[in-house]
Amino acid sequence: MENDHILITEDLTINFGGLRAVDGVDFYIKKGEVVGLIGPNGSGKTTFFNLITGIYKPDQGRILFEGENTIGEKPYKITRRGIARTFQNGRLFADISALDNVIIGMYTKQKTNLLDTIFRYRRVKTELREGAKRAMELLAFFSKELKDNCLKLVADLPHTDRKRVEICRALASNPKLLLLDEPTGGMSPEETEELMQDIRKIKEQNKNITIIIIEHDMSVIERVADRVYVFNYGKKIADGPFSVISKDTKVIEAYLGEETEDVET
Amino acid sequence: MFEIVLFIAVETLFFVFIYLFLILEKIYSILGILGGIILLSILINKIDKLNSFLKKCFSEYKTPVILYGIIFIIALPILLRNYPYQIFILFNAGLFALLALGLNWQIGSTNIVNFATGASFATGAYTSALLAINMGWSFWILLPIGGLAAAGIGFILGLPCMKTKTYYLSLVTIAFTLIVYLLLNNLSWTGGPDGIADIPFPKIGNHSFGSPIRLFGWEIPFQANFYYLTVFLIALTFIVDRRLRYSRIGLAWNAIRNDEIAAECQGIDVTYSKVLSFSLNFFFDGIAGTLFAFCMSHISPESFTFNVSVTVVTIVIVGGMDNAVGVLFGALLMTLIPEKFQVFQNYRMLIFGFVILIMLRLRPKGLFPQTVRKYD
Amino acid sequence: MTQFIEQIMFALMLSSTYALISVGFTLFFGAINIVHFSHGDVAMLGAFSGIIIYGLFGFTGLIGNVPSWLVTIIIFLATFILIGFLGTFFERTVIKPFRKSPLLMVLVTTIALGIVIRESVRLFYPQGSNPQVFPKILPQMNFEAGNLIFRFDHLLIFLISILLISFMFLFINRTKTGLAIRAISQDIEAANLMGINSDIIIAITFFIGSILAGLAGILIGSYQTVVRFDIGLMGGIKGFSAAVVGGLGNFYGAIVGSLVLGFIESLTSAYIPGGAPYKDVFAFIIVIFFLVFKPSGILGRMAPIKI
Repeated sequence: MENDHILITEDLTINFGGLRAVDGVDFYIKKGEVVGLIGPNGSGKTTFFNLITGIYKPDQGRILFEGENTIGEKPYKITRRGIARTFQNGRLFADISALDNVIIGMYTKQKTNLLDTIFRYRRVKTELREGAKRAMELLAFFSKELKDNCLKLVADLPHTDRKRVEICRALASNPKLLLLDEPTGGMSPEETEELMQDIRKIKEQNKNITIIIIEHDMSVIERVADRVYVFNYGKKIADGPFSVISKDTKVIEAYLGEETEDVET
Repeated sequence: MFEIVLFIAVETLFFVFIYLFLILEKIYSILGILGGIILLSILINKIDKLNSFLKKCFSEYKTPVILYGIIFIIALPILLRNYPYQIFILFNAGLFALLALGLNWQIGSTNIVNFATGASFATGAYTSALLAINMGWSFWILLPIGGLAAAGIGFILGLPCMKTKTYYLSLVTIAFTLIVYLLLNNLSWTGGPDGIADIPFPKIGNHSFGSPIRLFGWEIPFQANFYYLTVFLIALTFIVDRRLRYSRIGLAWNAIRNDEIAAECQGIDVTYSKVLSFSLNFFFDGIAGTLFAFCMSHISPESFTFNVSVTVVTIVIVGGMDNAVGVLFGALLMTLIPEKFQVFQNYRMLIFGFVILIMLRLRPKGLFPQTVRKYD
Repeated sequence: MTQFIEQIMFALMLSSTYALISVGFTLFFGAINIVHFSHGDVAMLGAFSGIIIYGLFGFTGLIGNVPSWLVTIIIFLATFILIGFLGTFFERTVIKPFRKSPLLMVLVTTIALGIVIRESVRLFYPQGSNPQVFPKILPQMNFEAGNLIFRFDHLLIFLISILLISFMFLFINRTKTGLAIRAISQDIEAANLMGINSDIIIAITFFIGSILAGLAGILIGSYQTVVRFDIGLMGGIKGFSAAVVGGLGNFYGAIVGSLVLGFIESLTSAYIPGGAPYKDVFAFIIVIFFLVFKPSGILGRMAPIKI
């Protein structure tokens, strides 16, 4: 076990009533790396994320974050260790503003409690003010428009903006490990390109941030990921640099019959 | 200059309407005044010029406008010094406002539909009544104690339910309320169906809350004592509400309301947040219960039925989810109007039932839905 | 000993009446995933309709001329139809518009509906807030077996309940419509795609559930001999409790749960000194226990109506 492996899974397995959604997965990622996670629909990628974040408890195997076993910890505790994620179908808090959503992302880094709120409110006010400022900076990072519309209810925002807000929310806590689940889902090629540049900028600004990104768009993976893992039927069938795995016969077979992404796009 | 005068005039008009509404007896006059208030509200809502003008005035001259309102609230018992019953129904409305403001933290902010207000209200009332009669403790100590007792019950009720889906949680609260009512009715040390009587009036120094206030030669009925205390407590609750709202606690509640799993993934301890909402809500219910017990000086299980819970839930649904002003307004609406239309008292619950059905259908977020948080 | 056996008989009868109501709860939960909080009040309406129809016989002077067994049958049939339609009417007007709404909203809606029903009876039925005498429409005889004295009408209630439940069971498991109901409770979207008109099937589900509730009202009225406008609130909660204890959505669960609840209620009031006023408290404590610790009930996971 090496010190700069921020996340390791060993033989990670979970069954759902006879279906092995994740099957004996060995995985590691070093601090500062960007690892891509690809595979056909239903291959267990999102389930893998759910296992890491503690939403599911595995039937077998280990998950080590910064060397510590996190299995059995409740999701909020795992998050507090410094893991943040986005969701494939977007799970934002729809009936409050985009700004509030991002501020909530900072929850783990905020310190005030009930007593502070009732009796020492000035601290709370300051904390929230600073949070709001930082949240607006984060939103502005993606687009000025987003920042101007930050008081709009998330439910009233267009799809792409919602995806961006979700990423802001995940970034708000300054996570050590960021899990992105199909961030470009539903985006046009131009928007995808923009998002990719943004992910690059994020990496540049936080040298130490580690990212695992699930994607179907191979062009994103190719340009953003240092390494790639390929899942199929819950098993890891290949891992390595994109140039290598994209020629792997097992990988190509797995995608046969699927709507294969044109690698050139 | 002209603007503020006009605004004060409109405000005064409302106050006059409210005053008349309270003191008039004949059904037609009451209906007339009610119609007047509704008409004025609709006019303000629909005529954009008037609407934006008033909004502008309010934001520019916030302080004098609110000050004027506060003066009116304080002066009201003096104006009503010949109408003790009216002061009492205002006090009653205030109690329901306290109950509803607390419940709003659960229904409005966190989406936990809690039907146990009858039980928490009862806990505060009975705890303080029993301690007052058996141990002779003073009202002022019992006020927070009643709150704490109820909060304790809220904690106990909340804890094991946290793995329970919110939907089932509501059913648990209903069952709980019925259990409490049955126990109060049957246990001997709660006085059974007769309840507890002879609860002494609170005192400040030499002044008992049971005696009228003598001020500048006016004699203001004793109900005003409770009225002022309630107004003060409501103001405190408003402050607490505002602080909770603009804090990570209120934000966490809203997160839970939308998506519990996503909330957990932001590092929010969902169980703790929910239990907190139970405890805080019940604390204020307990305080309201203590107030109630000491004003009525006699309490019985009949005041703590499931119907009470339903009334408070209705107030929150009608007034506005996650909006304290709306809830306050809803409380006034749902208590004062049935009071004035005595002939409809019998139909009160039936009307409430219909009101819930209609509101949920047409305006599920209430008359005054929640507003967006602004951070400047 | 004899008293014990008689208590058991009573408990069985009690359970069977609860089962009529709890099966309805489980049906509705299985079909459209709602807890129909005012289902108990529909049963109350059944009891009152029994009283009204009997009163009509008396009013029109037919009471002497028509044999009493015919009166009983007419009351049963009329309530059957009346409450069935009434229950479906409530679903169409109050529950259906909220079909896409969050579940909590539907719950509050059904609670409000219950209030409207209860208060309407209290206000508009003559002397509504007072207890009403339920006519004796079942044969009032006893028969003996050894040392035991059985009440014939209790036995009849038990048999009728079992009969009705069996009919419903057969209907759900052996008919095409029943199959449709089961399909909807599994996956309403898929059922729609298969050509099942889920709207109509839901209406039929409510019709059946309401019939059972209405008849339960009559049977409960028969053995309690006195009914009040608010028996629906308690009765509904108990029926719901039975469904939860047995396993919401599981048909057998409703039966099991009703047995559990019926037995606990009658045995505590018979054998625990001073326990009678608390029998309801026990029932509610049990339901809280299950809701919190074992929401899937005794028989298991919120399964659709199983065979």
